[in-house]
Amino acid sequence: MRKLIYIAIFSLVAKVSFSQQKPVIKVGAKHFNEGYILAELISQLLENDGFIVERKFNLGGTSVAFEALRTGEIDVYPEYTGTISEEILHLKDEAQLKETLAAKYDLEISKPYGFSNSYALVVSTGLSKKSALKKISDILAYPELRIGFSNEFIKRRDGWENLKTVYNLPQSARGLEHGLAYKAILENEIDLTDAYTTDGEIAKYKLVVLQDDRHFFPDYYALSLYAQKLNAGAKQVLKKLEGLVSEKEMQKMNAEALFANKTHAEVANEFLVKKGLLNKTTNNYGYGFGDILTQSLVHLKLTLISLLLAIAFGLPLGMWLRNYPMLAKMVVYIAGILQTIPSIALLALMIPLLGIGTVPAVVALFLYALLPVLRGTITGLRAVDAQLKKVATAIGLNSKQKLWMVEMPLAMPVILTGIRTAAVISVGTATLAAFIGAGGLGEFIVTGLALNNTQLILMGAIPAAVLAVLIELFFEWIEWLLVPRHLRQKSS
Amino acid sequence: MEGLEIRVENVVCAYGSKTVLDRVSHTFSKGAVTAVLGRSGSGKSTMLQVINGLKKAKSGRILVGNDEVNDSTIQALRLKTGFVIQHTGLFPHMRVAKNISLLGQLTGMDEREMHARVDELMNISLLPLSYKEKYPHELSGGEQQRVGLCRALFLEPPVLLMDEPFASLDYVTKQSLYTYVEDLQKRNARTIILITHDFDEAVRLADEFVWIENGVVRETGNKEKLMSIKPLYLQG
Repeated sequence: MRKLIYIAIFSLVAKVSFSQQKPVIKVGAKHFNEGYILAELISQLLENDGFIVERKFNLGGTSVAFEALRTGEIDVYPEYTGTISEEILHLKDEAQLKETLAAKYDLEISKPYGFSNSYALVVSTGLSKKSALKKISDILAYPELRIGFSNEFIKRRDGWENLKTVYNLPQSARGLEHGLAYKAILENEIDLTDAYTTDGEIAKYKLVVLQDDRHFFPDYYALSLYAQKLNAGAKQVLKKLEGLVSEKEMQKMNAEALFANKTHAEVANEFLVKKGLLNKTTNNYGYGFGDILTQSLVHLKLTLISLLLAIAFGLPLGMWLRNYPMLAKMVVYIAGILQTIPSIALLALMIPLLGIGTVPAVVALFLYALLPVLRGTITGLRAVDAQLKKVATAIGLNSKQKLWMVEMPLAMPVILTGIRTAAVISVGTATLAAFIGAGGLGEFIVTGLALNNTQLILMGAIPAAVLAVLIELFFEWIEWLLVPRHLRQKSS
Repeated sequence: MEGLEIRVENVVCAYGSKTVLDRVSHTFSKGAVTAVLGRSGSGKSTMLQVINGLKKAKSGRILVGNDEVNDSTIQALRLKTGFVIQHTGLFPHMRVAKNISLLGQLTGMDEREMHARVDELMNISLLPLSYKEKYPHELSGGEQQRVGLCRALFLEPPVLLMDEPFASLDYVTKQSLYTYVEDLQKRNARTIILITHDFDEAVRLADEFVWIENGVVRETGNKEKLMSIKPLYLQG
């Protein structure tokens, strides 16, 4: 176990110190199929031009990606005109897009890649035929339609809430993960969902796109959104993508990534080769055992650092608080509130403060791990037999000796249970760290979710489960070392 | 080690508004076993806690030998004062040997000396040396109480405070422990304050007694006097 930690720390250090020679461009991507492919197009063109690319994919939504760009955690990512104007800048007039980005955020955009990927509402062919659904206004007549939208779509300005007003729709919608919505529609769990017009699933699953007869959705031309201070050479490279990709080509690439068992990198590579922008593929872009190992180590690193922080902070705090029951109650209460913040929200809250990557992920995981450690320490210490504490004082132990020789050892089973809970929570929550570019096994899970690729999800989920089991065993061993058998927790 | 005289002078002690010791004065003779008698709630346990500094007196003072009990002296005085309570108060996470030698460890006693002292005390107490590696819960109640006494005696304290140490034990075990305490006193006469509500136990072990009722001293005296007040004490 210790060896693994060393390896993890070493590989991190090596990685950081290794990548200092050529200009490094940090390319971001939102966590959906097309986002990955476009980011790969950008990345591979940059690499072909001699830049070193750091891929920060899997960013959990527009707000995360934009914050990351604004704070310099990434340099460029693919975005859509409609999303920028509606969702980010809240503009009335799309003509002001460029000026506003430059004035408010020091950001620039490239010319569009060519295709537009608009939002659309889709239903199955069967339902479309049966109920004569062709246009969005047609669904007015079917208030019983079961609707499931991606959470982002529900909240966006160009999303469900305003769409509902414009079309005067009576239905209400449930939120679900975009990658899962197609599955839900196929399995007849929902009737209608949101889609991107370039989604590969539309053709594959024979879904019908409802016509936007009141022209609610703005245009969504894909383009590169990047910092003004981006390397001039890199900006030149980005120009190569302008006007390069037609809607058909994008659909095809999306479908290939989804259904032809190709990685995003392969799909992007083939496209660029076909367009004569790259010679030939040089890298093997598939995931291998090495990737699982690397990400497992990253995962372990995130988990262990945050856990150690939680112990380093929670244990002394709990020890100090044991004599102040009212204060202890308050602190546990506050830590409890932190715990109730949904993990993805907490991660998103971290971005303006700490950017993206390892640091905010560790801080968020630390906050989650803190409560169990703190509560375990306080509860454990308070549960120590008052008589024994009195005896310890009476026979001549000073308060420090009493704490370390009597109270801590007797509280240890409960404290260890707290730490163990914290560890398992950390392993689980760390899978979400991928959303803010911290890597870990969540990379596979998040990408797998976006692709609806069970194999990829399992590549992340199984090692994560193994890690959780290993951590359990590790703490069982610690307990075996520290706690005499008759004082161990019954549950273990 | 010689015993120390303990003087309690005009001690007032209260829990909130309830006075439990009301201007109590008594001198515990050096090298004698003094039984503190009284019913539950009479204040006899509080007397012991005041001497040990677990409970602070509102007024009055306590002298152990020449030292007045206060915040600056109490830590050192506690090491000179063995303390034994009902249900032993042994630490469940420490093996028997560790329980006995704990104070030696804290006072920086030499490792070899500690081992020898543990063996010596266990031999005197008729505890098999094989018990050293056992945990307290693996021993019988009487054996645990002997271990408790070994712990209290480890630093050869001149004073031993005992708060109903034999209360929960069966008759036979009690008798053997009485003999044990008597043996200890023969070897080395300490000042022992024995809190008990068991009159016969007091008669068996004590050289002197203090009878406390409602926070004041009702009677004091030697063993003869103690036997003479038996009917009165048992009446209540």
